Amino acid sequence: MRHIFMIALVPALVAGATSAHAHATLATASPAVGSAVPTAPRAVSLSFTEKLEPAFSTIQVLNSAGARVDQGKAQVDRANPTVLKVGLTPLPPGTYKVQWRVLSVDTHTTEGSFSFRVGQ
Amino acid sequence: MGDPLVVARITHLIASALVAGTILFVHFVAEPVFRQKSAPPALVAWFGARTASLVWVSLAVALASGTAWLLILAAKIGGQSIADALTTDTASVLLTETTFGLIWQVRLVLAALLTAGLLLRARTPAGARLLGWFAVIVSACLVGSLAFVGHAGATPGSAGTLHAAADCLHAIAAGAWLGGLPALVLFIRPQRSMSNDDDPMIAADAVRRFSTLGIAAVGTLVASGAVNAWFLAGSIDALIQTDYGRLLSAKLALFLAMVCLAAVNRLRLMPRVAADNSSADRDSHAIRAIRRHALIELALGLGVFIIVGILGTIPPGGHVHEPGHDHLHTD
Repeated sequence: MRHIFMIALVPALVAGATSAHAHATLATASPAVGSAVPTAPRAVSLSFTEKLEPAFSTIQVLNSAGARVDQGKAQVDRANPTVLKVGLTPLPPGTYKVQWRVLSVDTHTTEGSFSFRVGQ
Repeated sequence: MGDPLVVARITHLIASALVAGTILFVHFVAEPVFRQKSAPPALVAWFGARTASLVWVSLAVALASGTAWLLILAAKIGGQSIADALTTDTASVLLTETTFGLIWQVRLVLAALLTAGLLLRARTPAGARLLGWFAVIVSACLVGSLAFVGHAGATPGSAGTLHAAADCLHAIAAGAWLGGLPALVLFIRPQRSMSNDDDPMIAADAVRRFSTLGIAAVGTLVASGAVNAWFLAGSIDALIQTDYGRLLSAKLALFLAMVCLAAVNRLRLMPRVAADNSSADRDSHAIRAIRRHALIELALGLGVFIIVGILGTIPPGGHVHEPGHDHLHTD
């Protein structure tokens, strides 16, 4: 009987493990993905679904000419290791592209990009 | 499967499980049986030598495959060759500045401690018991710590702590059961060539003890899996629709088959061992059937490890994507 009970538990077991292996994906961004902001943000802050490795996680912010406008090394938030931030130089109105590449603590690399607009 | 990273992971998982499983078998199964049944010294020496070889070879393979895992991963993260990952900083940064690297270093220390513990020879029975427990605890930590380089280590917040704890127990239980199977097969094998009247009962007692260990392991595997289930729900569709889900289903099917074989051993064959013995049938059919089942379980267990090794490197269900594709969840 004990074994039958265990067998009955297995589907629950499967359901759990399936989505447990999540890689770090972008949950929220500030400025938001595809958004237009009236004033220039001082930083780009990205929140992911998993804890990140600071040593291998980067954000690059490019202007429409392809020049970098970020202040270099992105920092993982100490209090919340799922958040990656990078400072920005003062941005004139225009469209900017954010390219990110992160290594989650379970050693999976993911990357992506999005744009936001400053001013009209 | 052809991916060197997957091969290194699978090899490392199997080798780590063999180290822990063999040490646990010796401590919780073989030694108590030998003590109680006053086993022939030749059998004790033969089994001791075989299991020692098994542990040393597994430990060496674990070290080699663990190193390969680190180097191949560094090359992959850096988008470089292994040689470049070593000469540039990628490998050393991976080793010194990431959780993966930290756990890697801790596990190297555990392997060194285990080596020292296995090399020491106790002068008193109390010292021998102490060394035995030391090997059990360190080897369990060696296999359990694998959980922290997996996905559970990346789960944020306090949920992550529970997730990692459950995965840690999952790894130890898998190691105790699957990793102990080769030692069980070895233990049963020499019985026919020995000429001691107690032999079939020695094997039967070992099977009974290992089966009890197995029930504890299966219970732990199910409970730790249930913790995962409590965290996350609603992905039954992904089980059928993604490679990830299909592999996971295959793993569960293998697990179920193993549990069934173990149940047959426990509920049907073990009572027959005693009967066979009393009817003076020295070449016990039931014992041979149990050994055959253990070999089948071993093959199924190998399949489980191969699947686990692959699962850790492919995108999970619901997150299948092309390389370079945006992972945007724009809520």
